[in-house]
Amino acid sequence: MMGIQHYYRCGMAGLMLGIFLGTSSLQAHHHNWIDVFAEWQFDTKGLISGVKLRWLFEDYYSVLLVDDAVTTGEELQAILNKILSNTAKHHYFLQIEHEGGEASLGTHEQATIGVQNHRIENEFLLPITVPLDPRHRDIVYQIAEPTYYFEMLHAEESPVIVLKDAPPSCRYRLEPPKLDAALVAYAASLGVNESGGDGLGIQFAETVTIRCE
Amino acid sequence: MFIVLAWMGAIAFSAESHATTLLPGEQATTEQSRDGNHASTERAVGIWELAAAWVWAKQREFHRALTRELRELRGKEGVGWALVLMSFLYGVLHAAGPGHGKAVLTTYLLTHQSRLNRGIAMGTAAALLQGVTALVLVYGLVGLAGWLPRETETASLWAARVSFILLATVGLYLLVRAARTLFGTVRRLRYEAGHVHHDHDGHVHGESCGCRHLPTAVEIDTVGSRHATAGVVLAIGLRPCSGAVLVLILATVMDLMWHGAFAVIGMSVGTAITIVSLAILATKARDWASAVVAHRSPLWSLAAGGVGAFGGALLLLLALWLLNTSFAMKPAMGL
Repeated sequence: MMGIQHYYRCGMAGLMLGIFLGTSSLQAHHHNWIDVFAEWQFDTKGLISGVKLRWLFEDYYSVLLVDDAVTTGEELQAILNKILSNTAKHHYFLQIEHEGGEASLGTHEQATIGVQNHRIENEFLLPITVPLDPRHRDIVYQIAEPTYYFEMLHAEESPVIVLKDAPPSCRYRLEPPKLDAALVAYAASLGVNESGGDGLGIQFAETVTIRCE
Repeated sequence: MFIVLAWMGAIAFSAESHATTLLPGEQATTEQSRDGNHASTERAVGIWELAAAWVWAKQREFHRALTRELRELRGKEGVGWALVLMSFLYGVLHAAGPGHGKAVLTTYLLTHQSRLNRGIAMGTAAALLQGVTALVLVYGLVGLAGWLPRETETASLWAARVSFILLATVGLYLLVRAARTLFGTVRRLRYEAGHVHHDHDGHVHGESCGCRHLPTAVEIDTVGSRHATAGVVLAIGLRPCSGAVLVLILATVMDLMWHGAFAVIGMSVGTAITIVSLAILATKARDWASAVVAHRSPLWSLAAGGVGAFGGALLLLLALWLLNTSFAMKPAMGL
């Protein structure tokens, strides 16, 4: 029964192809992203006392969110409150390393939300509880939404990172994420209803170093 | 087979449900951590995964690029050829990634005898229909019926569900048809085994002989197969391409209706090119396989029937799985 075997093999090959095409990211969710702007605030002693973050949501997500607000009659302000109370549990998606430890953040202040050219934009100031001294040790920060449902990268426009009232010797350096194939393959394999876990986003995050000589 | 079934079932049921418009932070459960990578890096990466990763990364770039192009077109005159070209490339690429349309068409073409022209026509029709569906859904509902752009996402979800139900019907139909033919063949083979013994050297068989070679064009082109073909095309085409919906929704909001329509046409043509290549490949692969086995075994028609039934079953399962997944994700604002 040579023929049947051949046929069987071909059928199996077809099955494999069908299954490959038919599964994994067959319904991968839409790529959502947030453009981030950061303004680091220096006090008179040259210490970093806070950071003003601005999140600019991508156009499509913004349309959906605005329409949801219209439908439910919810004010943008209510959405902002939800976003902030959700993200507060996750350090506002910001992780600052200084002198081998993580800087502790206060609660958000001066939060605003608005729509710019159909894009939702929110801004808030995060005080840093114990101001950081960038003169002796580098300050390294990363911004990421933990599950990578949103990709958060610094915006391509400038100025995107501002060192406000910083001593003239202060500089920053932005490094793109180092992605390996396995990581990208894993992210690509996630279906529309699957979460990559809370450690995924940070691996796609940029790393910014602030240094004052 | 059972493993496959169980596995598909597991995927379908383990799918976590959530609303479509999640706010930042809503889906994260624990605090973010540096060493929280559970699954990825230790795994070995196969060639398919690398390919899928590449397509995924490219799609991500295209999403951003399409959005940027639309943004820049605002308040400008002209067709926006850059957007059309980009949409075309997106179409080619998007269709190269894993997707429901390709899975359906290749499964059908690999498991059912059809002529090359038919495969090409099916691919083209399905790809273009996807674009038309997106245009009708978004522009029809937003432009004419006054829906909110967001609501058309729900509508396209329902269009997808209709297409899955149609696909399930087609799969069931193919399964039943193949099973019937199969029983017929078995009965005939039994009858012949009891009666005739002839050698196969000459290969001159009369019509009454059970040993048949490739089906003729007339046999391929039965009413049943035409129905199945139309069903497969509709099942693919009624599900709008997510990229097209994205572009059209943005175009509506940004007041770029014409630009959006041109972009979607470009996208559909791009998709058609990839799908048709795949259709040719699948048809050729099947023809080759049939040619290899056709002269070797009188049981070949039995095998062909089995493969046909198998294809039908596969489409049915795929449809049910897709349908299940589509219900697992609930739209944020109800229906």
